[in-house]
Amino acid sequence: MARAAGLPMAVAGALLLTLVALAAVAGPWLAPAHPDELSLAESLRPPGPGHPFGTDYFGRDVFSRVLYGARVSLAISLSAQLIALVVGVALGAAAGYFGGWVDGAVMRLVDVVMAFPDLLLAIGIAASLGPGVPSVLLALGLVGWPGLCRLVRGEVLALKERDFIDAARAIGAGDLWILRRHVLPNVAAPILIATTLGVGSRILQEASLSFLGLGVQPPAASWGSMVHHGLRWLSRAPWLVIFPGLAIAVAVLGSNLLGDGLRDILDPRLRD
Amino acid sequence: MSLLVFDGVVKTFPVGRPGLLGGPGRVRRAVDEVSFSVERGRTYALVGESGCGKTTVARLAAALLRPTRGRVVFAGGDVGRLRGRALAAYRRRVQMVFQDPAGALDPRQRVASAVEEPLLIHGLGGAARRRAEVGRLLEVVGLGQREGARFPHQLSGGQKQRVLIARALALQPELVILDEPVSALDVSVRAQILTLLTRLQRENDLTYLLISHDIGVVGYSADRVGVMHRGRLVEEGPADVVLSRPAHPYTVGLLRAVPVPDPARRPPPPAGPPPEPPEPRTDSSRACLYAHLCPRAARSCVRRRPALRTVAGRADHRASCHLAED
Repeated sequence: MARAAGLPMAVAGALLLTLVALAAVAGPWLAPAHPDELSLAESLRPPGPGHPFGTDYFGRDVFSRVLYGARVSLAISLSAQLIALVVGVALGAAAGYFGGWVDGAVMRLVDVVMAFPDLLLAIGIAASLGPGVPSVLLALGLVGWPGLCRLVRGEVLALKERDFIDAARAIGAGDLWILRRHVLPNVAAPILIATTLGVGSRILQEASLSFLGLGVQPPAASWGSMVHHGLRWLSRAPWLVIFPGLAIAVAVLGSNLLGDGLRDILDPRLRD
Repeated sequence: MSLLVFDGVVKTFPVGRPGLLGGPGRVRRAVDEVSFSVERGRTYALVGESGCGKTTVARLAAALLRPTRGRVVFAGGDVGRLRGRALAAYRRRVQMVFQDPAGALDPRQRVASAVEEPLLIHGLGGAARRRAEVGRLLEVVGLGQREGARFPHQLSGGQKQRVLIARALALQPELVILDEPVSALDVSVRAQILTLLTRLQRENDLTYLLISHDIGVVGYSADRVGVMHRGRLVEEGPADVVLSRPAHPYTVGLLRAVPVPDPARRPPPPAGPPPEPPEPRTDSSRACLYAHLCPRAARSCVRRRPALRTVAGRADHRASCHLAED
């Protein structure tokens, strides 16, 4: 039953993400105009034949900017999630496997980071490092790892008690070998699910930071910064906010659907 | 010559949490002053009920645990002191077959890869040599290419245990620790695995430390038998002597508990009243740990805990019972 419900969800999510990825990869060929091309004569045109998503105050084509924005948004959120993944899995596996003071130190750090609301922490970090892509990456990575770390630690703790870990030690395997060969492959499924779900949060958080002006700097555009700049024209040109907002929604929905679908397919035990 | 020697080995485990200020918490002695030696090329069997500490002995011998006190000596070297490279070398010479074959195999690892893994870890042979060796090992334990490509959950219990035996043999060890090798298997498969183990011992000149709760399994294959009760060795001697003329009342009880299919050949039920329920206080007192269950307990059994002493007439037969002394 869980599998039956999971599959269509996963497929729908994968399709939406493919759409977003396609926009990111094929953007330059699909875009009718260069995203930074100014044309003051065509300022604030509503969506129409020449400009499917309309134009902004500087006459830039919003459709082209949304396509290019997919690149920026995806690149930043995926990289940030990758950072969260590497840090979270490494620390979580070490904490669960070695226990003792390693576990204590890592989990107290997790507690501290998790004590802050995600977005506030990200804003704080990004703001203190100054606006720009590197600080956003760092901020989102730092916000993302504790959840994965906790998950991996719990899985590893349970796994450590299994006989095959002792059996591996008895044939002479060292700790790193056991972690790489026997522990990580057995926690791969929950990690995959949590990572996929995390991408959605990262996209939202990146958009939020960019909306606050902490992300990519003009003229480059991410979806969040487009919403930020379009807000001023909300009553006259709502399409400036609607289309990048829709893009964010599609990407987040895709990643959530895929993650939830995978959860149902791979690991019915994890469902809430 | 003794290959493996346990010399006054004690292993304690903490019970519950330590005190608030990190003071010593309560401990439980899983293995209490156990001494015995395993001769090269022979089978030494440890029997006892579950919880008597025999699996802890197996783990101590496999260097998965370190003794709290006493020494585990293999081929003259102290196993408890091995670290790093020396420990890796020890694990080439000593292998263990686990009780639950389903749990001892990584569910995500194919059989051939599981058998190859020890060779890979110890850097033995190139890829082609290893593959040939895996094929040979699987054949030795009666499995083929087909099983090699499978995952553990696609195999029967007996097949899984064969995989673990092949894996244990991969490093050509001298000592193999068999922790309840057949207790998780169907009765029909047990004999096959025991026969396989006996054949492999003969062909590879192996020494076995066999852990079992089933004295029937022990009678089948052991040269010497040690009987454990509540962490202590209560009787020890040549298998035929211990099984036919047990000196300790606990061993007598174990032997009597072996089911006999033929009702006409069953021994008579024990005489006298059933034993008193266990008195936990005897644990901390100086009483014999079996006194509260022993049908023959005398007053001396409660006053003084008996040591492991030779039984009258035989230097190689020891028991810890006042009543067995002459």
